[in-house]
Amino acid sequence: MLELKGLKKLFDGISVLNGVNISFQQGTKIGLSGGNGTGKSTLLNIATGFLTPEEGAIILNGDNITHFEAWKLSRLGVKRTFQKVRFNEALILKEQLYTNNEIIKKNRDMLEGAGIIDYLYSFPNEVPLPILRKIEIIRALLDRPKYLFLDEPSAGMAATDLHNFGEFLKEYIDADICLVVVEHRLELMKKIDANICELRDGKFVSGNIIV
Amino acid sequence: MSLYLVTILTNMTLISFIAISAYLILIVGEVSFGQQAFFGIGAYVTATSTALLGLDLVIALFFAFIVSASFALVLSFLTVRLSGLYFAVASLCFAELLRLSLYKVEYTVETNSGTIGPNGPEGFQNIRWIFENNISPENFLIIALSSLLALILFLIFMESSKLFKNARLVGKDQIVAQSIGIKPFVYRVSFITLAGGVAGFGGGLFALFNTYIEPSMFGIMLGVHGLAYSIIGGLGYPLGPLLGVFIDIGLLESVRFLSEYRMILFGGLVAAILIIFPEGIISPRLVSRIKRNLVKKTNA
Amino acid sequence: MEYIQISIDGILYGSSYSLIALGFSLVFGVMRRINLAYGSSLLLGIAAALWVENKLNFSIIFFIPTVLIFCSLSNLYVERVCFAPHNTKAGVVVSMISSFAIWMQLDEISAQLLPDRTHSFPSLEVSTFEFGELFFRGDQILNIFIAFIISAILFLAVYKTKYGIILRAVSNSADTAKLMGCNTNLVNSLTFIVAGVIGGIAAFLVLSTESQVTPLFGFWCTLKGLVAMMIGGLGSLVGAFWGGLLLGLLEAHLSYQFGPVFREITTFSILLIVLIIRPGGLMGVNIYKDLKSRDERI
Repeated sequence: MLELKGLKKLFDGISVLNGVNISFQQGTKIGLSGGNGTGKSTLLNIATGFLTPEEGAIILNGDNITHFEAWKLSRLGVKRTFQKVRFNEALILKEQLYTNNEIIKKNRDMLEGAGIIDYLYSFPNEVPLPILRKIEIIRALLDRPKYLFLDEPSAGMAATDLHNFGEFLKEYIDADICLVVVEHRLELMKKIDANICELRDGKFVSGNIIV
Repeated sequence: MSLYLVTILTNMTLISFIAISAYLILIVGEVSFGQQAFFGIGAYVTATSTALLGLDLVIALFFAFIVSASFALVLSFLTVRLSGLYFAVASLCFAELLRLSLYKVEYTVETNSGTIGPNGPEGFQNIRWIFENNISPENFLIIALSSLLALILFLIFMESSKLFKNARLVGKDQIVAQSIGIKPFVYRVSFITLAGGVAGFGGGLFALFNTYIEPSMFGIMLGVHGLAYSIIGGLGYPLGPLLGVFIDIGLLESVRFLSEYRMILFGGLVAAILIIFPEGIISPRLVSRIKRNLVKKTNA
Repeated sequence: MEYIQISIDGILYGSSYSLIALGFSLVFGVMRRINLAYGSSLLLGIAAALWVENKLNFSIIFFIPTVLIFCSLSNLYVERVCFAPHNTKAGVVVSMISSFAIWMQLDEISAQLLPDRTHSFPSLEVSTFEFGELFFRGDQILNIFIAFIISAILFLAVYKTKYGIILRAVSNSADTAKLMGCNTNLVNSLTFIVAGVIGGIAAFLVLSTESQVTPLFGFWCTLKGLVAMMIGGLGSLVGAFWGGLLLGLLEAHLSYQFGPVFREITTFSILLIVLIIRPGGLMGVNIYKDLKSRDERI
């Protein structure tokens, strides 16, 4: 279980998170919603170790990991994707899965099912955005994460792509993974049956879990 | 082969070591203005080991590698928080401090072939290893070239390893690197250290070839030339730095009527190459494209 | 008394560092780029002006504007060749290397214009004066005065005028400024020209106190300007001014205590220590943090 306790975060003196408590249990799906600037992304960045909170603690299975760096959290199974896809323009996508051929062969079904197998030898700028998003998620999945955070995966996607993308998430994310989706669009979260929590003014709005 | 050609080829080989050491640091995403100092340290260590201690070539060069790599290790730890411009300037400071302290190193021994040992600004004279072992310029060129070749083959071999791929990712995007569990610090430190060692090895060969070294030889101009070679050559493949060396020394210096205006031409040429190929001639993208075409051909 | 005299000499000498650092700082402040060819472009400006003066034999009243014109032109050349083609984020390092390459080129052209190792340079006839037991060099007092005035004018221009707002907009985010209708290209070119004028004044004043010019002047300018600027804080105009004075002061004391090699050793050790302990410099911490957070933005 990954627990965030009493998180506070300031940016230049402006409070973004103000005592947030939430726990992520393996096997659950959680959607974090909220308006712009309510601290959704900040929460995600803290949970994955890319930012450190001013106050509060991050606890993974009972161990305090508040000051662990992002790479260490990633090795412990806390993975993420990015709001703006991050790929190296100079490498073909297969190289950017950062894994070996065996694992790629083993997961051929997933790559085929997700419809990305034909794109493995392309450069990122030759590939449409929904595919890049899937590849970013697959990059994390190939490493067997326990907690997977998606940062606004639907940004820049058309409605039909979104449907397809939701199917992909339902199909290939294992049941024992804790999936956390930071999103504006409720359709996607409903599609994957996520419990939705809303952030407002740096805190969760109490008792509004929409199922 | 004429002596002139041999000298030019040897110079090209020796400066390639600096270019490759700059290349190794560029891979992990930093720019170093300080590789000349490690070259200089390697030169002084080799001179001391052969002329003063009478050690073997292999052992002397090994020492040169180790000592300059340890200095580079110190630099990488000092600059842990710095990157980009700040790292570039810090590496320059570190290098100049090392070079200036060579002005204060004095330990000379009188022998019947003259004074040997580091003598402050006078430099280290009478490095007689070449003469003592009857190495002709051609043979020395063979020694230097084969070490360079071994280094290049090693780098080409390593290029497809996980280590180098991760290092390139660290250099390109530390955030993605961290998100897939790579610790950037390890790659940074080890590549800066390795680069220092490579420069030191080259410096060792330089000291033996030149038979005389002084601190002023290892100024910033030397290091930044090496850097410019690897940048115009490109970061895609270990042959990039060699291409850069060839463009400058091979093309400009050896064409004699150009050599008087070499700096004017070379400066303009580098700027022009960078406008046409901002990532160098053998850019990572070019290498990926070629690799992809090769894969397609074999599959077809 | 001796220490006071050394301090005075050091600070007065440091004023030339401040002058050079101001031009550097202006370019960095607007473009977030380092122009390694800055010193050499000033040397070229000086060399070209001396060459013309040799041919035409005109008086110092015409000489100063000639220096300024040539310095701005060579700076503009650097901007067009090294900085304008590389205006993307990936271009930061490329433009630095490119400016280094142009540094070599400009140095070589200057060496062809000034074939001898040293050339005499017209000096301003300002007398030295005494104050009790202390000596002050008049021309150096003039330097520090002008450095102060230039930094004050720049400060006012950057923070109080419309041009300053445009400048800061471009420096904050060139892309946003472009969308708002700024001609960023023009702003960058103008910045280099202004930096050339400031550098020209600085180079003239420094060289006239030395009353000679050598081909090493370009290297000296770049190095000392860079160090003074980074001690004060990258991109901070006030920092560049004080950084130069501080550098002069420390160099004077340490080289007096331990000998002339320590002049150089001091320069680099101070900078290294500042970078390690306080990478943003003594006064430019905000800019450092700003750049760092921009790099780490997810």
